[in-house]
Amino acid sequence: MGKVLFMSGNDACVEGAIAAGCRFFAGYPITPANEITERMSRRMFEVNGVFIQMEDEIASICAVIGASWAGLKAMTATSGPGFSLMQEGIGYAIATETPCVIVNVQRIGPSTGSIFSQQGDVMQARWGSHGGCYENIVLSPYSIQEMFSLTIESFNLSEEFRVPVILLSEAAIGHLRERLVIPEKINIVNRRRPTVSIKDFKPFKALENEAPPMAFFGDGYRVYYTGHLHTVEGFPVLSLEKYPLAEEVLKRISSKIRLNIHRITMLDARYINDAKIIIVSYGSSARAALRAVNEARKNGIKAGYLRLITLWPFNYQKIRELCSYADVVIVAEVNNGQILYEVQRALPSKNVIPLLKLADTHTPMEVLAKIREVV
Amino acid sequence: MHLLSNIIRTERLPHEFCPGCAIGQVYHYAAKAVEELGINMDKVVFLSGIGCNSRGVGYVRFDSATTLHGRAIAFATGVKLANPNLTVIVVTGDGDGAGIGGNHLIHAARRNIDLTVILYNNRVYASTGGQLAPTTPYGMYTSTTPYGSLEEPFDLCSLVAAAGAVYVARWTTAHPYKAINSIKKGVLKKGFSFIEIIGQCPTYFGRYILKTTDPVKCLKWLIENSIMKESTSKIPAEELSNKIVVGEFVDKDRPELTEQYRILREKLKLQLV
Amino acid sequence: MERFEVRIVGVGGQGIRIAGIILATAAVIDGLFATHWPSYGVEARGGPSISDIVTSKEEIDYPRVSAADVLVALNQEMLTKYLNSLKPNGLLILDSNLTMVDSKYKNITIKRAPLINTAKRIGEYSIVNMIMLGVLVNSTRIVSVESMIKSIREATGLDKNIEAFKLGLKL
Repeated sequence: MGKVLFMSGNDACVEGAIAAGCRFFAGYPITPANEITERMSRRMFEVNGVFIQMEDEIASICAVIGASWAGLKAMTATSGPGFSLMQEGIGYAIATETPCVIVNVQRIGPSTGSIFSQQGDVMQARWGSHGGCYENIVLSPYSIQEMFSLTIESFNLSEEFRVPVILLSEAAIGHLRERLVIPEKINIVNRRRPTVSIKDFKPFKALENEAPPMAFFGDGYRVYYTGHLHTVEGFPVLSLEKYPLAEEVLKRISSKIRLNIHRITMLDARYINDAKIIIVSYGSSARAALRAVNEARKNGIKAGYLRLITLWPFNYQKIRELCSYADVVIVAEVNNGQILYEVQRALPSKNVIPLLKLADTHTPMEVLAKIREVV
Repeated sequence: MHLLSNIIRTERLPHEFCPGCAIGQVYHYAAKAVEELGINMDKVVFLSGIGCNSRGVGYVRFDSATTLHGRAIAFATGVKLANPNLTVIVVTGDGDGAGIGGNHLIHAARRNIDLTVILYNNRVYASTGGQLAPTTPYGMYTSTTPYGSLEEPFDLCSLVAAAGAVYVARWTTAHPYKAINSIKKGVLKKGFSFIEIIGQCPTYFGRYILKTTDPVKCLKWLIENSIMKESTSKIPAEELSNKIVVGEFVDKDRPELTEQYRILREKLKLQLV
Repeated sequence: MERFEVRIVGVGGQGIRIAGIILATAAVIDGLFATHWPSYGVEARGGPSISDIVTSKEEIDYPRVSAADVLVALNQEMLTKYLNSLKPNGLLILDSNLTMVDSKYKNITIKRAPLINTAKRIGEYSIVNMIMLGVLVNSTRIVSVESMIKSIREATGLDKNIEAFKLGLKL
């Protein structure tokens, strides 16, 4: 076993980022993500990286994208209001295929809300940027160990697919403290670099299921980025008639994710095979669900536990397979119903019922009561 | 063959700009300055935001990006901090750099990060159809001030100087060699430098305000209405308020941000040992 | 030891949060699994403050207190509000200035200790949480004294805190 530590989710996120090779952090103060920004302000200097506190969240995501172009693994951390401000930048990172990681330690909304925990940004993380022609990757940690490991995974997926990855945490996980075991061996993925000559390099040319190699600013490839619909060379498409292949790049930024969904999907399924009732949950809600399912099993109730680690892309087929034996599926989440509707889409012929809460997290008693209600 | 064919992406021509537009001149000045300084062009990055001016970066053969509206300086801050060996030049407009992006402009000047910002000021929002800009003169008619503007414009050089920039100059497209010289100074300057270039926009500023779409007449108007900073004491104040004051306003030194990072890192390395 | 739940309640400025972290860290040093969940008001000082600590030999599913084995209270209002989170036969550790008025909790064990007064007598109100940890560890033995001392040193680096903890062990 590796080194055993005891730390908060926000602190573990920083250590995960550094282990993944993150060497640039730009951010702006916001509760409950401050511990990430504060720890980064010390740790980045210790690992020869860059920390900067920008003038707002808009500037933070832009600086992160710029640093990524210059070759560094870069991230920012925020909460709901700041996440909203970053949406234009996130869309730009998707369009320019810029790897970066955005941590959103969710708090209650709408608007300023308060510092209470909530899981309200699930749909914003998926659809928050304008122009719906995109796919992205959103991961949900439920423990301090996962704040560490999923931050690394966020960087790895981001580097492989050249896409911003959103680590959708919550106040309830960011401020929780738990045992963290630092593994002795950590798998790290780095973005591919071009191997062809400068003359032959097409910055946005790749197979439909992959991201193109990335040249860094200063490498001599003289790359041009734009948020415009662009050709494989990277230049704006000014006329759809003149560039009939204009949609090639636009299609690929979705297909590179869709065609790899089996590799991106992470699920945690327990007691599933004989379960008549399955609780689907994620993040902090899953902690209560797990305890409730453990209790139910002790009492002879055939309850199952299915936790979504990858929220987006949503793997409808996999959910369908795992829930095939169940009669009732309960979706527990802390919002007005977001993942609920995706589960209903995945299971059109099943009884999918909500167990919603508007703030904080579920308690095991609440989940257990719902299980007993539907037995 | 074009004069700057190693710099211009000639395969992308013809360009998108209106006839007589000043943007080609502004990019010419920037490219000329880089060429004359003899910097390794693989290590030069051009960034822009959104607006007429921003289209230009797609025509120069450097590592470059047309970023988000108003945010080029924030992107540039990330690029420069991540790799301080790169020469980072931001080309922006008045709406882009001083309207939506005004906050980034003053904060970058305050931090004194080594960027060269060339702000092409045509004094309207041109790419969206001639709306009021934060630089439009008082009383002027634009697409969104049909009764005349009720707002005073920014004096951008004073703004950026007050925020802490170490090199600040203003020229017009009627002062090409002075503008090139200032860009060279700005690039060489360790710190945040700002060069404002007032240029002709025959399509909007010309048509709406000067009542002419002839670029030569626009340029003549720029010459006639410019006054060197050193000569301002010679004319009455009320007359001066209608003039474009050109010249170098700031040329000073103070610690630059990426250099301070380097020094701090070395200091910490010794402490950690 | 099976799952064991401790809830410490007080107000901001009493060091409730750091006390919880120190206790849970000591459990991890002892080789146990442990969680710490803080909750507090938006005020930096004077608002409600709660530390939930769960320890177990096995991985902890739900990291908050459902029915506390031990409730520690440093404030009257918070005691009244959170008394119902204690198990029917649980242990209540009270500052001796606080009063227990509710008579329906018949089966609980009550341990009174002069936490605030002892801290005031020494002239350092800020060590009240360390004295409290001493009483808590002495009454429950959920973690070892050695791990506690190590944990206090890691978190605060101050000998006076260790002395205060040792003082609490004897109260």
